[in-house]
Amino acid sequence: MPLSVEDRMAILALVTRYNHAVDEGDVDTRSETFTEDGVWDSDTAGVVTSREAIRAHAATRAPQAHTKKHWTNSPVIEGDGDHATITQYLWLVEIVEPRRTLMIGTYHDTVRREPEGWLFAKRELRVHSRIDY
Amino acid sequence: MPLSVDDRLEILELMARYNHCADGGDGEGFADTFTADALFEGSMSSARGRAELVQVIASGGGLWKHWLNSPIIEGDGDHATAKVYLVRTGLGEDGEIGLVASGTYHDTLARIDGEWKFTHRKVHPDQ
Repeated sequence: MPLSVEDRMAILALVTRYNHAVDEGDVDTRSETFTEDGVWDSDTAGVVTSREAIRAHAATRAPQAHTKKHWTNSPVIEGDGDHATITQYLWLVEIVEPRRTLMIGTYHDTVRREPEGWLFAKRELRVHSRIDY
Repeated sequence: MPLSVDDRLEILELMARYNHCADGGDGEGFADTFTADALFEGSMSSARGRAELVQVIASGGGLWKHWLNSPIIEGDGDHATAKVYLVRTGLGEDGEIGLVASGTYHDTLARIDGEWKFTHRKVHPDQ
């Protein structure tokens, strides 16, 4: 069954929930955007497997909260039934002076419909350009 | 009743209209995005009610553009809340075009006569 408009809105809402959670250092909400067996694979953090491991990883990053914001753009969503992929750009911006662009990248996400709604089964972040920060 | 896709799209369009009116100096259009007794708490000024809302914008416009990202919209029936990222771009004091401000809007909205409007819009500046 093709994705409905409601599915697409829910998947976009999952992405924005993640953005706010990571930027605010909300470890629980960030890890709960993943399935129990979820995988976080990024050029900056390596591969982290399982919601519990992602929660532990998120806790190590929480002290940096409130200094950056994740802006995502140009999402392409494709899928069927209970599975979908999203490809979208990431603009990581420093929100304290000097308000620099820290990183530009692309998320390649796989999402799955669970009883509690759409969740990330896998997030891959490939860095395109990045400054030292 | 949970918010429908139509509700969410209408709220996103309300946010876009707010940007165009604020950036274009259209005070009447800006005030139209709020209910008659709404409260706006900006980073530089506050306004309550239509007359004050019109004035907030009548004194500005043309300097910046507002950009939004990552809207979280929650609600039920005729009431909703939203959080959305904001940056303002423009010519900075250093002569460069860039981000002159950033923050997050915290919004409370209501559907009045079939149209979504802000009842309260508060900017939480990033610093």
